[in-house]
Amino acid sequence: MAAYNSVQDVIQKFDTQGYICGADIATPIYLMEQLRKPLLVEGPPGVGKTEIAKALSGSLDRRMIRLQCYEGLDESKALYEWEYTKQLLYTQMLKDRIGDLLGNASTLSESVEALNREDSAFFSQHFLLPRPLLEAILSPEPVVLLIDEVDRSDDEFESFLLEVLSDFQVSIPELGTLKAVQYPLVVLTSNANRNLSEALRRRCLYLYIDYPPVDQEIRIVLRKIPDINEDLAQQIVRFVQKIRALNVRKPPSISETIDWALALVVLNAQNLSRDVLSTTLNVLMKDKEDIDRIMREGVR
Amino acid sequence: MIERVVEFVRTLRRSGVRVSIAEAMDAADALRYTPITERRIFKTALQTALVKEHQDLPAFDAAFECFFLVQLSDEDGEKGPDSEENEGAPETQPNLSNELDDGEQEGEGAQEDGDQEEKMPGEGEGEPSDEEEMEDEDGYDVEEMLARIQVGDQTSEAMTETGKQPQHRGTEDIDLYQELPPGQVENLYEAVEELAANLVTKRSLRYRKARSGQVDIKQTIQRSFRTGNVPFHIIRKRRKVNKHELVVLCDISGSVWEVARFFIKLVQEMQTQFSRSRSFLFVDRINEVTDSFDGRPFDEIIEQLKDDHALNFFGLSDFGRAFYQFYNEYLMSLSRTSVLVILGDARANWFDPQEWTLDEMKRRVHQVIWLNPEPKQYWDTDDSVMSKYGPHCDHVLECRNLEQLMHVGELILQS
Repeated sequence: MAAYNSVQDVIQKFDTQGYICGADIATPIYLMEQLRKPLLVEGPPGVGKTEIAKALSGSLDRRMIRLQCYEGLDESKALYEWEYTKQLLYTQMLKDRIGDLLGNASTLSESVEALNREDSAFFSQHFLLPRPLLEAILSPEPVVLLIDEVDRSDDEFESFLLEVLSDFQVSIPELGTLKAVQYPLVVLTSNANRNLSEALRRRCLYLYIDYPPVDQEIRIVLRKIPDINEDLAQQIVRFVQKIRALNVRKPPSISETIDWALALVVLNAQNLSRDVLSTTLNVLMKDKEDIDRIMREGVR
Repeated sequence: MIERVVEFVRTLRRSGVRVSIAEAMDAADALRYTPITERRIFKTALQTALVKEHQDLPAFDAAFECFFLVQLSDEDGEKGPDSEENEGAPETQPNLSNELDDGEQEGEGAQEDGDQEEKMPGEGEGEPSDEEEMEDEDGYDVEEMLARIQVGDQTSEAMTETGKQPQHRGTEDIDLYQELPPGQVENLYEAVEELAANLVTKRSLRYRKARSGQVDIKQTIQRSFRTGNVPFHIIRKRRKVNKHELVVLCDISGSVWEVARFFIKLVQEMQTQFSRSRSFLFVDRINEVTDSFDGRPFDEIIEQLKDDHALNFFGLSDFGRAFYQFYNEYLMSLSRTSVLVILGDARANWFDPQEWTLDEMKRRVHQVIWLNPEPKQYWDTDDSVMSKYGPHCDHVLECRNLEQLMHVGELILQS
């Protein structure tokens, strides 16, 4: 069952979700669905890497499960945990039953054997507290799994991900290997804080997103803020693109462009005069030195 | 068609992009789902499956142009209305799809481009062996299309010559304290990357071990309330493994530069292991370069740093002055968690070494490590004042090859 018929279809369906993209982004997305491969998305902050997963889940009407990575993230937080409390409660409630169970055992070894037979009662999926990864794998309907900012996790966690990503399965010592019921669509994002391992890259399809070209960004702004004047949108986007070309400390992201455009609409600004800039530039730029520099030197 | 992909993968490998067999299979697989008539999608599909690092994209682009397009390079001058139109306005697609629709046009187009090897659509049916092999697959348009696409055997050979051959064996004992041939530098960067990855992994192991300390009675009892006073969870005390702040002072004058850049590379690669790291370069003045490392390719940044006017790269190194300036401006930013690493040959050019400044710094920081890229026997000869600075350091090490660099890395991580 293919969710998208063609690359064009992806572009259209993403468009309905308010995500405007060209074939360069749509092709990998189409392929990840066809080839059942995870997609690794890299690019500067704020170009809409995470949004891809959201648009995927929106356009396919699938639930999105998100795993935010951070330093020190480990299996018990990402995969599963045993619910000790519940296990203990069960043990206590079943105390009486144990008498019945062991009633006809005459020797110690016989009772141990009888207990052994019931062993699985305590390590069954009942007591498993699924975390995002396991949730995605066990989900009966297909989901979109977003593993956000993989580069922030530790190397060990990255290696651990390999099994999940290549076979969509996880091994739990007490239960054996659990295989995905439905193939989840996996999107990994990375800001290139550190180099991801070759092994991880090999298992994924790769997409590098850069800042969009002028016309595409204008379309994005127009889409997100329908009441904006088209001239103003053009001015805004061209201004932002020039700033990005300027080697500033923190280049403005797409979401910041939109915020800024929104601010200008709210303030009823007609064009980018110096006054307007000096009062609203802090919506776009988040670094004091950058702002000073642009106010001083202008953008040309 | 699989053969085409394999050949293309080989071309890519020759130009230095690492491609595994699994990735080549993905690429072939991907082409089954993409309409090959649209060049952009075809290219993106290959790229998605084969290129996994942003830095490799230019190499891929070049290989793709060479491999799948009419050989433009043969006639440099009239290098193609085709290619330019394509890049400018992708929607128009004047190349492949149009050519297919209209055989006449293709013939003309090919002649205009002066390409002799282009297969004419009419003739194509009979003779080329490629096409016969392909037809017995599943009769996909792709096969036919690919057969028509010019495959430049010579191009792949041409690429071999220009392409770099990645290999870094036996890099460990190469003397870094000398001019290195340009190709070598890249190999060494790669080796440093690997080395840093190893160091970091070891360090992570250390973090994990840090968990298995003594039993923390208080927390274990607290936790046991949840489980009906049964201490189900035994909580161990975490041995504290603090992350240090790393402050690097690098003399980059003259030949020290060769070693300095590898050291800076190492520091950059180990970045995550410190709470914070700051880098300063100096010749006779201090210049902070911490913010210069912003994700651009490392060699680009490093070359740019060298040319920074604030540095006076070709000046005489003056340790005393640089240290005094650091003492004045940055002393307050040092703390007990800082590890100060100084790289320099301690050749002060007969200037006043002002070693007291180093002593002041040492009082404030956790550790001072001095790395000297000169062979030990030359220390304290001529204008070298290593013995003046030495007593104010916790470690003084010779650092002139990768093996020593690795020890340094270990030492810094363990500090």
